[in-house]
Amino acid sequence: MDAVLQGLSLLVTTPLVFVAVAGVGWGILGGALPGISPSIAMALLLPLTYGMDPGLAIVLLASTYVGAEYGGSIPAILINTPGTNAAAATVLDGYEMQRQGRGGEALGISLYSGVIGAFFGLTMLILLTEPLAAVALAFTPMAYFALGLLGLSVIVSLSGKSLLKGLAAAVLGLMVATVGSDPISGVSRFTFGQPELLDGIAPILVMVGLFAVSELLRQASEPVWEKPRQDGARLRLPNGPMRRRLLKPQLLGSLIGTVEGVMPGAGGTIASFMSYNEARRWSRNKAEFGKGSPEGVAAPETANNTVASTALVPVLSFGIPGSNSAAILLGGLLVHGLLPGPRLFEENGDVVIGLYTGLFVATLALLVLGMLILPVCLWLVNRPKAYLMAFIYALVFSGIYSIDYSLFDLGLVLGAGAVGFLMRLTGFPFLPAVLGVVLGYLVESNYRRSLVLSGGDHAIFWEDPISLGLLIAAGLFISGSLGTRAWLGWRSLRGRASPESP
Amino acid sequence: MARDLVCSIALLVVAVGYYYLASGIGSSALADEVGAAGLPVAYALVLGAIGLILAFQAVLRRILQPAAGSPVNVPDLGFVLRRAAGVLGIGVGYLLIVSVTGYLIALVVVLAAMLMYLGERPGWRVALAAVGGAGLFWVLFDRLLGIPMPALWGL
Repeated sequence: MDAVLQGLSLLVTTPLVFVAVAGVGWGILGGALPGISPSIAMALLLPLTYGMDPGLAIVLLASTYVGAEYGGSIPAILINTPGTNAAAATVLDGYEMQRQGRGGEALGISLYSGVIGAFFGLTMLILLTEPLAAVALAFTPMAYFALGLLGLSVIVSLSGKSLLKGLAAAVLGLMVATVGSDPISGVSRFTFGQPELLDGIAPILVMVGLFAVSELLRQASEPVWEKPRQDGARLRLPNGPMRRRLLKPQLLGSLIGTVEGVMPGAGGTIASFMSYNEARRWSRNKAEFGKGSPEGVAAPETANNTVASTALVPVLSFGIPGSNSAAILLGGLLVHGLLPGPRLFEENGDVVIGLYTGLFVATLALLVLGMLILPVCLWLVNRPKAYLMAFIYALVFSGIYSIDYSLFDLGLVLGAGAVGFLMRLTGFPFLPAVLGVVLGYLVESNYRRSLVLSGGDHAIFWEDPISLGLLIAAGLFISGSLGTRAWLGWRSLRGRASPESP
Repeated sequence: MARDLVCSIALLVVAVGYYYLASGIGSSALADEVGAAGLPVAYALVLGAIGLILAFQAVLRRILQPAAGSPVNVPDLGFVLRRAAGVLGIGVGYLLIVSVTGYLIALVVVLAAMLMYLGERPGWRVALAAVGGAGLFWVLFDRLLGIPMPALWGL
């Protein structure tokens, strides 16, 4: 009760509300610009926080993180370009809804689900930091390897019509993830003497190329420039029946986001892909997924916004940053002499309460700012298509250069775009490739670290209980998805055969 | 069907090339049991196997359903590829000129080129959109976000 009163007092006696709203606004802008990741948006603010009160500085950075995680969904839905890695799963149904003239509905669902996820994550952060922190500490390299495999198991159900093509796309993604310095020995692999490749190829480059640039290449030959439906150009928050329909995917997204968020390194990308997959598995409208399903937008958006809060658990409890964004937040804490760990809660309880209060305000601000910003975004994407395409291309050039100030990266994006265009023409799905790129390093580095620990004995993977549990879950997912594919294939064969039968 | 066959051949070429490069990865005193080349070699083998299965499927389908080879309502592939190559060419053009002309001028050129390539007639509207749009991006990225965008002649 004292904490609640202290939080309320902070709201009226400090500029906390202003700082949280400003952070969310800046974060939404950063997340919505491809290339300006949440971590870059936060890093740009870091110098500003030096002279600030420590509590307010942390609120500013954390609010930016919340806003940026949400902001990534806006270009994902409107222009087929995930603003952040975690928004890649939102592209699938979100952009399809936009193409059907339901962009306003998709943005409404993503905003509503994002706010639900952010509130759920904040509640978990406040109530369960201690037990959740124990989960974070229990993760070994074996468990991380198994977690990566669990993420890759989603490929079976994301492969579309051809499982083989999905698997091939995933392997191509894994191959891209091997570019750069070897995670164990540091030997250069597939760098062709280019220093720009030593750090590997950032997943966002592949995603922007595959989704955005390949879409531009495809649109260039589309003869019909359809005018969008007018009702699709208005933001529409879900109504009663839709809210009930979204409950299940939101619950799945919240739970998966909570667990994934507390594991350093797992992050919002795995959470959003897994939530998407589980939402489809448990949906009554499975066939709608990939064709503009509201549940396909709600699940990943709830998950990645839950992660934005629960990712703070390992940072606050142990000072373990699970992502670049978390590392910058950790930097913000350290700059102000705040040492993460149990003593942070004892000695700087006011900062922690201020952070929780700021995140609460930031989540409310997300809803309000979203409702103000999204109609403008919808107006922008409903301009004549030639203008829209030209400006998206300019946005890609500007955003990608902003990551590392590198024209080489831009060349990689154009290359990925050309490959993506050929994949579109030949029916290869993108999402398995994206998963391969995102998870490749996690899987390889932890597989090999585990074997170093065991002296090459693979039994270590089933001797570790968390790893065993995750491997069993991956096995169940794969067999379940294969079973579903086989059943659907058999049903379609029967359906084709039945009209000819007497 | 023919595309599947082409795809499978492309996958096999990628697998062989990647295998060749992977088997040439140097070793290190810090190397573990799997080694830096371990997983890349495995990936190449898996991709090669998938390519072979896809090729087998495509050939089998061609033998079993020879009539189903002609797709219906497929747009002219040559036209699709040419249009896409044009957009890609504009992107490559930006890469070639940006370090000389700087970000602002290169972006004006890209916006104008894209607008005209996508059917807008050259005129004051295109010029205004290109100059205004590039200015807007420059203010946002260079001024507001503080990103050091390429300057004129690298200045």
